[in-house]
Amino acid sequence: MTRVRNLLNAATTGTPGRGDIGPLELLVLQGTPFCNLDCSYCYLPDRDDQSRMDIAVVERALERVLQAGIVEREFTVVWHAGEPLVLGVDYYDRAIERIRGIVPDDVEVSHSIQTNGVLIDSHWCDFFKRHRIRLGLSIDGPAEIHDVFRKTRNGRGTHARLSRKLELLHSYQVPFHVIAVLTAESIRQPEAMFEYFSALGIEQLCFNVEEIEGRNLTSKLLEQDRYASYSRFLTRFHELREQHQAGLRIREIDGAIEAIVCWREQQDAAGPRPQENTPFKIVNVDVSGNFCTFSPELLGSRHAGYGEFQLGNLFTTSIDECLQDPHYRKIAAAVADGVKKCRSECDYFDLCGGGSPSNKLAENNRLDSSETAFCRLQRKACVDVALNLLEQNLGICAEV
Amino acid sequence: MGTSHMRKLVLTIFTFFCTTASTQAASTAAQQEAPVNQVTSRIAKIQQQLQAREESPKVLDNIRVTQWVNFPNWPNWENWNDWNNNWNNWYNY
Repeated sequence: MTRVRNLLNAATTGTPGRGDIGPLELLVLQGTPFCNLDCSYCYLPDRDDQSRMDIAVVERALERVLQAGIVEREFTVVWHAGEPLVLGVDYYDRAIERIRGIVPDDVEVSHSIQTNGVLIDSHWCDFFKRHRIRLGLSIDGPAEIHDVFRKTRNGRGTHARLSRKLELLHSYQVPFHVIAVLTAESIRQPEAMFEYFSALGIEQLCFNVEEIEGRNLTSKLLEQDRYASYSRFLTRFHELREQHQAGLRIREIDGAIEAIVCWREQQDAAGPRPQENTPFKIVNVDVSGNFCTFSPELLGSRHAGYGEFQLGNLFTTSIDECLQDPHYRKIAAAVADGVKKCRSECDYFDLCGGGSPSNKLAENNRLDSSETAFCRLQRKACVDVALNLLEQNLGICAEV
Repeated sequence: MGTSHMRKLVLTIFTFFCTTASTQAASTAAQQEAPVNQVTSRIAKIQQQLQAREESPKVLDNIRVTQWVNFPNWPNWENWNDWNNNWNNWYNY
């Protein structure tokens, strides 16, 4: 009740108080900004920088979140960057061991790695199994689609090398899911995409639309707002899945169906509290210990109106100190105002919860804004496709 | 009943009707002004249909539902409580 009350206060004042934060769900550790690939749509600004996160930063990050009282029963450490695997198996063995030593026994910590897969070998396969890593591979589709954007630093495609790594993962029985970045080209080819992904032997496939963010300043998918063609792509993909009785879970369709099935009218006056726009549900830490909250993409970026998005360094600033800082309060108030705007303007709010601050900033140049082309595709189109499928399945005639 | 009482009664009845009429008018105007949320009204219809069914439809084959979803008529409904079931979680992990 206290949390709900605080949220209501926050909705009125626009400035979140101490009780509105967390609980921590994701601790995003950017072990290195470096990436071994040079994908042309990547939004990361420092991917030539080979610095590594010292284990002392990992320790301090854990101490700070525990000290702030935002850790409840469980959370996930997301090893993100950069390409996480360039740090090597030994690095993660040490880091995970240290995390286990610091976190109380009754708190469950999962580890998640999203990788381009190129560096996977048998040692990594053992590691993934040993620590039950939630593993995501970045694969955009068959070679002719994947290799357009996902290239080595010499400009060569990575699909052939990646395919050998997938065989290795299967031979070690390492489960993984796939995140595919959809581009204007790939959404024109649902058949080719389905044929490829349904044969991969994965349980879940996630589609990310190519975003305008960080260093990636253009996206044909978002610039031309391809709501109709993206919706057709998702619908066709689902039809193919049904025709072939493929058990493949599609996050964008099945996730939206879940949200619809789980929706309850006025279940909570405060509405949903998504990770990206709830303070300190996500804590993002860079290689030197600088930290921020909200969207991980904000870390390391700055804006004329809001300044740097990093809120301090873990070695000198506690989360409690940060909460009192006018700089944090300005950012948090703008994010809260953006959510408030979404709530008052958007029919999809109950299922979305107010969008992504990093996309609002990149597309609208302000956090206290509402709709983006990203949310028209990644939220509204998915919900609309899911609503149509459910209505068709249940014999409901949609009133237009 | 004297004339003044009669006048008071007529006035009271008249006031009552005026108040009721204006309240109804205000309520109708509010209803007309309040935009209908097309998404949630479609969801409400879908949920109504789902509650009435004896089995989950095919379109739900691949979904994972948290424990508080309760369609009592459905046999063999498996409750998933997977940590990844919130589609609003940050997209890149």
